[in-house]
Amino acid sequence: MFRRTDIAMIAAMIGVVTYTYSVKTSTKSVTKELAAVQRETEFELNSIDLLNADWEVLTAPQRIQSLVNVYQAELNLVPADAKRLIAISDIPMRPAAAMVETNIDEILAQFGDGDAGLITGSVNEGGQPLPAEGETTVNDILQGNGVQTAPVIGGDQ
Amino acid sequence: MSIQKLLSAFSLTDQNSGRDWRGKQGKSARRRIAFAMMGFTVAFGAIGGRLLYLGFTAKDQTITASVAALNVARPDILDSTGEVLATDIRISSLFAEPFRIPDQKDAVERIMAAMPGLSLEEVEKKLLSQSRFVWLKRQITPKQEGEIRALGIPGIGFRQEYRRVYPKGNLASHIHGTVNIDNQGMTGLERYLDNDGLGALREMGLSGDGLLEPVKLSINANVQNVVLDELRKAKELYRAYAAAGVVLNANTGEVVAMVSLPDFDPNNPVDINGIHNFNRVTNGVFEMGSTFKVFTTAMGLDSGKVWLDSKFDARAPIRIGGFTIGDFHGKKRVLTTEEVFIYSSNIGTAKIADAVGTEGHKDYLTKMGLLTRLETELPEIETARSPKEWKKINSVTISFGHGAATTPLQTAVATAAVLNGGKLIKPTFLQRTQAEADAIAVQVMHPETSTAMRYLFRSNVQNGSGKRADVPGYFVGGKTGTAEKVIDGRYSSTVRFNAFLAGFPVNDPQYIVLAILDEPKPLPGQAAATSGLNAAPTAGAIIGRIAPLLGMQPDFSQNIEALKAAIKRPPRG
Repeated sequence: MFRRTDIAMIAAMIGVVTYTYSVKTSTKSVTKELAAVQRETEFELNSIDLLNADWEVLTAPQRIQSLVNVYQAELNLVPADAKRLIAISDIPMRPAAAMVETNIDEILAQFGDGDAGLITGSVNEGGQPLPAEGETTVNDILQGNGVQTAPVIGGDQ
Repeated sequence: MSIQKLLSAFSLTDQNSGRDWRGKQGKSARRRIAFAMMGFTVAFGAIGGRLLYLGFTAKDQTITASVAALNVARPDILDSTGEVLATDIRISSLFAEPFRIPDQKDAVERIMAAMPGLSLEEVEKKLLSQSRFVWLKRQITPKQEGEIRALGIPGIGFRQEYRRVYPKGNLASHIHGTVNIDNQGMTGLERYLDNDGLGALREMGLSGDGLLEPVKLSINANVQNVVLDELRKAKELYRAYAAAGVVLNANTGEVVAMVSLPDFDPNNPVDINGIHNFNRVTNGVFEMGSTFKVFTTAMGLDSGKVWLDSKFDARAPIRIGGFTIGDFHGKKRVLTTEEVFIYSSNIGTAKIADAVGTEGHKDYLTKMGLLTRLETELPEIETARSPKEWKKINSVTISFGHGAATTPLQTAVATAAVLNGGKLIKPTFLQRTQAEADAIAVQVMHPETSTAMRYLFRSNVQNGSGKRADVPGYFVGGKTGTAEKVIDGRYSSTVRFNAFLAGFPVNDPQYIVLAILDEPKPLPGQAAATSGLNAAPTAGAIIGRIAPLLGMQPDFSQNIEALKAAIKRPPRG
C-alpha cells in the first residue's frame, strides 16, 4: 500500500520536475526572443528617427530652392506674381457652350502609347546636372559636411 | 522533540531501518517522512509565494537597461508649420575591448578598411594594447556602424548616445543655436530650453524617451528661407560686409523669420565666439540712422504739438554745440511734417524733437522700449546704448538716429507698435495667440497717431526714398535709413549701415519687415550706396516672396487717399 503511494509521489515529483524544467527553458527562449525583438524595435525606432531626419534634410526649403534653380528653365518655373493670385469666387464660371463631355481615356489618349513623350524627373535629357549626385544626407551631416546646398556667398572681412 | 531526535530524523545513515515498518522504527520513519514533507511544503510554499509576489509587483526592467544612452534626449524643435529644425537621432560610438580580440592585427586591418578616416597608428596603438576598454571613435554614422557590424569582430562594440541634428542646416542657425557633444544647449533657443526646466529635469534623471514634447516656434521655415536667400543675394550684389533681416508679426509679436549673415552650420559649429555666430538682430546694437525718424515723427504727432501740416524751416543747417546738422538731399525750403518724413530731413526731424523737448524725447523712447534691454527667449541679447545724461545735442542727434544704438529687433518691435495702433508687444520666438498678445500689449500711443504714421509710411514708398520697396498688391509702407558708421572715432560719409523698415499691407499692417545691409558698396553707375538703392529693393523682394507664403491675398484696391482720409487728429495732451 505504501509502495503505491511512493510510486505515485515519485511520479508526481518527476512530473513537477519536468514541468518546472520546461517552464524554465521556455522562459529562457522567450526571454531570448524578447531581447531580439527589443533589439529589433530599437533598431527600427532608430531607423525611423534617422529616416525622418533624412526626410527633413531632403525637404529643407533651401534644397527645394536649389532644385527649382536647376529645373527652372526646363519646367518654366517663375515666382507667383501677385496678379495671379485671386480668390476662387473671383473666377468666372465657364460658359455652358464651352462645356464638353470628356472622359479620362480621351485625355490619356492625347499622351499616346507608353510614356515616350513624357519627361519625368529621373530622365536627364536636358543635360542638366541632376542634384541626386552627391546629395547631402544625414550621414554627411554626421561626417561634418554641411546641409547647405546653396552656395555660400560673399567673403567675410 | 529533543535536538538529538531532530538530528537523528535527518541522519543519512538510517541505523533504525528494518523490515518492520509497523514497529517502533516504522513509527519514527513515518514521523521522519512527515517532517520531510512539511519541510518541502514550507520551502515550495515560500518559493511559490515569492513567485506570485514578483508576478504581481516587479516590473520588467530589461527594456530601459538596453537602450540607456550616454547623454540625454532633447525635445525636437519645430517651426510654426511643423517642419523639423532640430531633432535627436540615436547614434553609436565605437569601442573596443582589445583583450577579447582574438586576432588584433587582422582586426586593425579590417577596421581601417571599413573606416578609412581613422588614423592607422592610433588604431594600432589602441588595439594592440592590452587595455580593457578603448573608444575607437565617438558618434559614427549609421552607415559606418553597419559596415563594422558586418565585420563581426569579437571585442568590438557600440554604445548608443544621442546626437543633435539640424536637418535645415544654416537656415535658422542663430535662432535655435547649438548644443555641445553632451547634448547641452550652448547658444540660442537650445540654451533657453535648458534654462527653462530641461536642465532641472535632467538633474532629476527624468528626461527619458518619449517624455519630451516638441517645442514649436513662431518661425516659418519657408519665410526664413526667403529672407536668407534674398539677404544672401543682396549681400553679394552690394558687396556688403554683413546683412540681417527680421520679419515680425505686427499684431502678436511673433518673430516669423530672423536672419543674420554671415551665419554658420549648427551641425558643425566651428567657432562659437566667431563672427559667424554673432546674431546681429538681437546681439548687435547699431545706430539705426534715418529709420529712427519714425519714432521722432510718431512722438511729435502723438504729443499733439506737431501735426502733419506743421511747418519746419529746413533752409539753414542747425548749429549746436560746435556741430552742424544738415540734410543729405537738402530741399532748402520750409517743409511740412510729411515732407520732413519722406525727404528724411535731419533738420526738420531735429526741430520736431525740439518741439517735444529733451525730457519728453527721452521718456518717449523709454516708453517705446528703445533705451533698455529687450528681453526675449534668446540668451544673446544686447542692451541698447544711449547717453546717461541727455543734453539738447543728444536729443537732436538721436532724433535722426545717431547717438543712441538699439538692436534691430528692438527697432522692429517699436515699429510694430507705431503701425499696429499703438500696442507695444514683447517679441517671442515661440507660438503666441492673439489673445495672449493682447494680454501683454501696452498701449504706448494714440491709435490716431498710428493711422497717421501708416499714411506717412505709404507716402514714403509711393513718393519718397522707398520707391524700390513697393510690391503691387501688398500695399507696402516703409522708411529708409542710411546711417554713417563710426570709423576710428569719426562718422564716415562712405561707410554705411543701411536699413529698410517696412510694414505691409500698410492699411492694416500684419507684418513688419526690417532688412539691413552693413557696409554695402554702390553698384556700378550709382554714385552712392544709400538705403533706397539697396536695402529698399531687398525688403521689397522679401515682401513679394513671403506675402503669398504667409497666406496673404493681394489687394489692388488699396490707395493712399483712403489712408489719408482715415486720419484723425488725436486729442491734445
